[in-house]
Amino acid sequence: MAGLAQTGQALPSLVEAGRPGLARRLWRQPAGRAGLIILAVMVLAGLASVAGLVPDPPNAQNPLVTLHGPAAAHLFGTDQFGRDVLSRVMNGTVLSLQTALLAVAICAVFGTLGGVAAGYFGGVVSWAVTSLADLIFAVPSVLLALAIVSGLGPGWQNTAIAVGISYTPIFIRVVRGPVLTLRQADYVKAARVLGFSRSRILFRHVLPGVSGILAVQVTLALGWAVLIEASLDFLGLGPPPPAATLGLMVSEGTNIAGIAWWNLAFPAVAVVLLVLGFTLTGDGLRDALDPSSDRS
Amino acid sequence: MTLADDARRVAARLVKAVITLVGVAVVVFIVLRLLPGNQITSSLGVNAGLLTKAQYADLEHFYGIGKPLPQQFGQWAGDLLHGNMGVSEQSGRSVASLIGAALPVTLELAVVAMLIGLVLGVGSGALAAAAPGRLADRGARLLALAGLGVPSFVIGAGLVAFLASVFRYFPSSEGFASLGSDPWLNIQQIFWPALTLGLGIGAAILRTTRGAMLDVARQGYVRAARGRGLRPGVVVVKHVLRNALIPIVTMSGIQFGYLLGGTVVVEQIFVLPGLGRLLLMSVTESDYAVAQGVTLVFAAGFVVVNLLTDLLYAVVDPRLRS
Repeated sequence: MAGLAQTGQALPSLVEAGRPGLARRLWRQPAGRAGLIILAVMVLAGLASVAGLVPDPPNAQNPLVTLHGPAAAHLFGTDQFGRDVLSRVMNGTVLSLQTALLAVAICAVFGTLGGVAAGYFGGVVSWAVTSLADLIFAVPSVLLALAIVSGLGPGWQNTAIAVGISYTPIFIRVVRGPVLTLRQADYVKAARVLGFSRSRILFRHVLPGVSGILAVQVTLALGWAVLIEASLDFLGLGPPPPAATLGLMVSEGTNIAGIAWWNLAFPAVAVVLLVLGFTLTGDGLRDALDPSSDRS
Repeated sequence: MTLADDARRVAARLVKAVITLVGVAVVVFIVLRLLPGNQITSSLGVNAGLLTKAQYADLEHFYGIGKPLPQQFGQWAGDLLHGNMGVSEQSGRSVASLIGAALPVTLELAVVAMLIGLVLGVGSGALAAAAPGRLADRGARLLALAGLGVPSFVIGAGLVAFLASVFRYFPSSEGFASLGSDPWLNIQQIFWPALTLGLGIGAAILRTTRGAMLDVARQGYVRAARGRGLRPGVVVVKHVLRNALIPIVTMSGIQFGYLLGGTVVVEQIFVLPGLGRLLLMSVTESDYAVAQGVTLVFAAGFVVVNLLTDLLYAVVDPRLRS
């Protein structure tokens, strides 16, 4: 959760800052470049798994090769059922990514709508939205996700809903502050005087103004979602055992790490790479969008 | 005058904290009622279908769940204020006694983890900020990145696997020892999970400390202090660190929330009988009264820490007192 909720900073915007090549500036940041490379590798591995380009089906058991170490036949070794660890890690990467994407879609949409409404309309709306956000925020997010997921039952969609709800307050906070400032901006005032409809002002004038902050926040939220999702799986609150989730594999791998380290190491590294990839990209994006950090 | 102002500010903040707590109690209550099933189905399972109407009504009365929700909430909140948090269906013990037994473990874990995080974070953050761009700085930033990117369950699982396979050592293979009964064993049992949590906290505090100190170091009065010929160590501690404390305090408060969530994971890995493990067990066993009570205690802890963080600002920064 480090440094995610920073409000009141200058308003970097994708629209104005992006013209001279946001992608290039992101690439020039060491953090951004490292993050992008890591993410590219992980996403490609995931896509390969979706396309069926894996050594074995993730749940195919082979009693003849249980607990074999990494070798040419099984690059990441096999587990106690003779399942190929590489195939399972690739499958787990897909599960993590799809859960994180759905979770962040949920919190980004609701959080942004709530934050924009609270910032733009003020008054009762602002009070209601921010107090709801404060309430959700008062329950530590892992605990909230845990309670929600235990109520909804296991399954990656339910994990995503739980993670999405618990992260929504952060989007509300991050978006509300800048919108408060934007409401007083001359071009927004002008749009109001011109008699544009409220939705046109909100979506065409206010929302683009917070796009930079949103882009950074979405990237960081994806990393956070992977982390919480994997933690819930690790605790046994995700999809049940035959599922090849990274958290479950780490949990099972811990017990046999003494005799088969590859069962713990590879899924653990995959989780770390996913989290690091999103965090680094988010940090790089923030620096690339921030005009004041334009160090050569 | 200022004393009265201080008192008013503290009182206002206290009222806000209490309101938040009441709100959390309502949310916790509603969330747990929205879950499918109830105490009867969770204790009897499919056999609940065999109950006669009269038996069912009796059980509803026993668990206090037949009435409308607001009335149930009133009952629950009233009992809560009297220290009665209900009874665990799984163990038959009162929720208050279960929490009373688990709370000291989690408190000790949280305090030690926070201390480790603060020492690591502020210490290495200050070292890094003292010579930005140098080797120590790069090393510290790399460590911070690792601490942020590696989830606590991975650190914990790695530590357990490492200690077990290399040293044949797992501190919790014996039952939990309290600080009073066997201090040395207790320290071993708490240290590793606290280190696991402390690394993540330390990483976040390190980044904040470094950033805040670099900001302060650009100020004129710091250059003036150096110009007056003060020793570099004195400048760093008395001028830079002292004025960089506000963001550090904020980040530490935020990290405490992360810490509370982290205890669930870490207590599970290191088999500590704390609140986090109690919560996880109650959730997987649908033991509503326990889950409700523990969540509330966690939320209360979080609210209290936020309150303390806010009050600490005034202590740390005299400018905020006026």
